[in-house]
Amino acid sequence: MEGSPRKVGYTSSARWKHVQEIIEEIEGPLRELPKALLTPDAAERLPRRVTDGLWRLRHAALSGGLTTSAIRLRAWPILLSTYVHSSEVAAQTAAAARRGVGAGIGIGAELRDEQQVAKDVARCLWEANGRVLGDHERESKRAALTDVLLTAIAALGEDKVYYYQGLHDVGAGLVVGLPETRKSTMTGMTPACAAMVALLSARLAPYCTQGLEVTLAAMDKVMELVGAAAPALHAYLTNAGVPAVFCMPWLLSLFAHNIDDSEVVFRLWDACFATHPAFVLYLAATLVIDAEDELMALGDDMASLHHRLSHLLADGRLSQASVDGVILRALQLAHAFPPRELLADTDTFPHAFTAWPERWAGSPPAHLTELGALQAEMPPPLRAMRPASGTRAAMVVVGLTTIAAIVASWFLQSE
Amino acid sequence: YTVVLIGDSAVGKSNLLSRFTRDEFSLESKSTIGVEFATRSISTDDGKVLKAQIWDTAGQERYRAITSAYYRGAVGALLVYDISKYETFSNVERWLKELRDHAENHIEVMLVGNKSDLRHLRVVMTEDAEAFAQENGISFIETSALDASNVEEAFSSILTKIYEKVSRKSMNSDAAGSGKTKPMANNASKVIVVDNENDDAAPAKKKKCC
Repeated sequence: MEGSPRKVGYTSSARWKHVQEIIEEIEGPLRELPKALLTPDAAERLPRRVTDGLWRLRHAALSGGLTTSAIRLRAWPILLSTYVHSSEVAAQTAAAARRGVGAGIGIGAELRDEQQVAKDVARCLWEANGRVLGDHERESKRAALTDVLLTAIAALGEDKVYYYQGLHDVGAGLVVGLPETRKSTMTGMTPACAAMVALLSARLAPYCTQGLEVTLAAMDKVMELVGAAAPALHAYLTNAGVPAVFCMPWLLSLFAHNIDDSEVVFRLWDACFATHPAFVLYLAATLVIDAEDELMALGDDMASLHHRLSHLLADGRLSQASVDGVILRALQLAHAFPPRELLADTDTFPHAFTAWPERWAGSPPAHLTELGALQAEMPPPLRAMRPASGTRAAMVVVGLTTIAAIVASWFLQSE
Repeated sequence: YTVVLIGDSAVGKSNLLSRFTRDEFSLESKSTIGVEFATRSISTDDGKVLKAQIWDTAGQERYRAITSAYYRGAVGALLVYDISKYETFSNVERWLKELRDHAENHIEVMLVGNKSDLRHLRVVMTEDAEAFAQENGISFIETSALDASNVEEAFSSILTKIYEKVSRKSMNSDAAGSGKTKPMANNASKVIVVDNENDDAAPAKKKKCC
């Protein structure tokens, strides 16, 4: 039993308690703060305990994940700053709601993308949380998904947000991951819907543009990262003429289209939501780089390379056991080739996608940048662990330390 | 040979492909994002094995910028509509124009009315589609990926037509036309062995060959 992940890592209840404590610390103050204080320009005025808490929450989200739907329901809105985004769009939402748009039942004027949304919604949510959904439950989840998509589009404005196939996979993940159907008093929307608005405003902003150009540019950036970290592999793929389109669904759906195990998807989302909006590019590049040997063994045939690349995530190849390693390597890649450099040469991407840290969160507390202090920041189960107690434990400690160091330095660089 | 599957969203392109390459059909279908692809070989009457790379494209209009890049290398296209959704048939003309704009001139096009099992919901008449195909000089077939009817026929018919066209061309002249198609065939011949997906298909066609 000693070697099992459950023993050496956080036990889920200890982890749950740790993350919950962080949330308790900041959720209250965040709620009490007047909305004016949550605007991007007021970042510096946020109380220290709130910004500190945010950093610890990000740290937890990156190192081991947020583990349960109850925690994500509270943590994702904080990580995504849904309060900020929804306050910006609250007026439009209200107007849209009055017209009946987004009710998901076709009252009022029909949105441009409504038919496409309907076609895609009808082809997802067959399963959730590892089990096949019954007809009734599926229909109610699909109705919620339609509502999430249409409300978010209406709230942000049809002229700004263009629905794309794949966004429904993100929405389906949100509906499953944030199953609260009541509207939050802070955002005036369900948590899933507020999260969608926040995602469309920053992390998905490159993909919901009218044309495909920004999406293609993002795909190129993935290949650029592969080239920077694994030049031989990059040259090999380029010579074979492999188009970057294999990673298109990864980026567009934040991996939800390609991974069946929702817990793995949510682990990736925990990490994505806790970091730079461009982190998804690093995850995608890491997956390709991880497969280097396998790909190089395939020969220079474009078709088989493309096929293998598109199936890198299929059939449970990325599991709950391996996902932490991928996140860690992606962080290392982001440390070596930081987003500000990766995205520097182009003004193709929306500002909200390239900007980090989200300014309202302020800068990281100084003590988080020191390694020694960092270990003191770790939750008790991890601090108590000695590397000698097993290689896996050592890996976890090294991993967490690296994550913390990388994240901290990364944030400092950006300031 | 490279063949593309095009047509409106949710007409059953992906299921046609999985029916043909893996003999699988899924009621729990998923939208295609971008382009996906699979391969399979069939044998002709004169014993030749034809290897096909089939690219399956997303139906949503915004993806055309990327999917049209795949028309260029294609020697065949299956233009799919849903016999139970009239709109998908009225859009066929637009898809045809897409092909004319982006594909090579001699691309072999076949109009495919899918979901023929939905008899009670049919809104596109066979004769109308037939007439349309004739007017535009393309071939036509009705299929059902669900009950597998005509799927094999659709793919093998288009592949055979391409084969005949190509061999006629290479007999006639060794110049421009064949120069373009030959490397493609070479490409495709390397594909076959690699994928799991072909494992089901491979033994069947080997038997046929012998």
